Amino acid sequence: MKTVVSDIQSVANRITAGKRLLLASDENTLRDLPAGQWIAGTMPFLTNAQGSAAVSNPIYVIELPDAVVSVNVKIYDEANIAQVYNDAPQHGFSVIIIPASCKTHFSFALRAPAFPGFATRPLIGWIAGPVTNKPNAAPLVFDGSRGQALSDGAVVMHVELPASKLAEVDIVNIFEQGEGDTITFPQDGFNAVDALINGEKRNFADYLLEAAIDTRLPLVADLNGAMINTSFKHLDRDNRKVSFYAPVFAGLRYKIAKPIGASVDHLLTQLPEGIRDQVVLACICILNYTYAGLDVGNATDFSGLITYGEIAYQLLNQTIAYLKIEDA
Amino acid sequence: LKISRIHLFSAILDGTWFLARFKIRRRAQARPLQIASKLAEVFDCLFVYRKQGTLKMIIPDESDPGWVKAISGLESPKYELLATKILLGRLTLIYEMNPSPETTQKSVAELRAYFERNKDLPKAQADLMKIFGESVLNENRSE
Repeated sequence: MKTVVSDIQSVANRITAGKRLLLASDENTLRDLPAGQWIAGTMPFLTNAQGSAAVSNPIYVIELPDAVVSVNVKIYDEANIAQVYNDAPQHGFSVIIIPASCKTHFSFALRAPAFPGFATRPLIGWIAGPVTNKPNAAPLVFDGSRGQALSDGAVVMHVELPASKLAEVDIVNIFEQGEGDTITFPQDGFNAVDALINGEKRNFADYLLEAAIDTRLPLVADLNGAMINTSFKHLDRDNRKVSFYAPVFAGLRYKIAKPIGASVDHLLTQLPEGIRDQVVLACICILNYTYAGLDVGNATDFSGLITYGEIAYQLLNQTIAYLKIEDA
Repeated sequence: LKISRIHLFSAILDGTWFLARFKIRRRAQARPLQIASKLAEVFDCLFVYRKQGTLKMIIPDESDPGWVKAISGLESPKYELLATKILLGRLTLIYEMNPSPETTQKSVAELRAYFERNKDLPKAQADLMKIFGESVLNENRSE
């Protein structure tokens, strides 16, 4: 994976050399970059393992392969984000970055599975978060081709590949459904008051407290073998309400994840054998750090972006989403 | 297992192409600025063209009952692509919540469009074969 932590001058040189870049850093550093073929989002922090300690104003850099035929950067908002799949190139992939907690974030999270052409083209990306030393600053995304920063919207780089290359989006999820109750929700949303527990209507907050559920473990839905996580954000005891980092969907059968103990240290080692050289972009949910104490440096030499939610066709939690490009 | 002469000939040809492509790419890596590099690109294009010529798929019509079988979720083969898994997971949920003919037809159209847009991807082809079997393989080469 050609991802490095770099300083602003090195990144500026690569931009002016015409490289196509995906970037993550703090707001001021990104604002100082020249116009070019790049998109970016503010990022919570960089780990020492990625070399940030040695660099002033570090920028996390993913350089797209030279084999890329062309790129087209587009800005979307809440109203037109539904077109993101239809705008994707016939042969290639798209990278999307959305600021956390904006209207476009919620719209994409709730409605992406119903967008026209959903999943017909590889779409990967991440939710940009506030930088560590400015927790109250609004997360931003940047369209480097226009020198534009957005606090609400989505910046998307549609990337066309030659016929000799194939792009594929996949995920690594160390969680699987536990053996416990089957949980369904009456409506889509980032919050839930009631849920059906094995078909019986219950207040969901009461259920979690009574069953002493560890809410660091996500809800897991099994979509034809793809384990899709939804992470708990907050359990409001006073208002008996539960909120999530990604929406739950009505009718989908969830179970609390099976406890995994210390094996979370091996999250990054769960990537399929032999693909590391093919991985162009990997997005790692920040909850893997805050909940599980995952240490990239100790786990593996493989690294990725730390995100407030990763996108692999739709918004996911507590996984790694990755894009690989291989020979056709 | 029935292996026709056409299949045998195709396998030998594929193997020869693969070896030639492998050798030329290794040479290109050793001397990236020389003609071998350009030759490797040409071989890549020819290889892809040849693979696409031999692996054409027939996407069944929307009237084929295999589509409804897939979205009903009654059978859940191990699909290759994350996109297939997620899309079919959603369509199965829609079918469970509202199995009316109109909704089912809309879901079938969406699933068929997905495979139509990805019909040249080897893993999408494998997923289509898990729904319909080898009947979707087109024996008529386009070469």
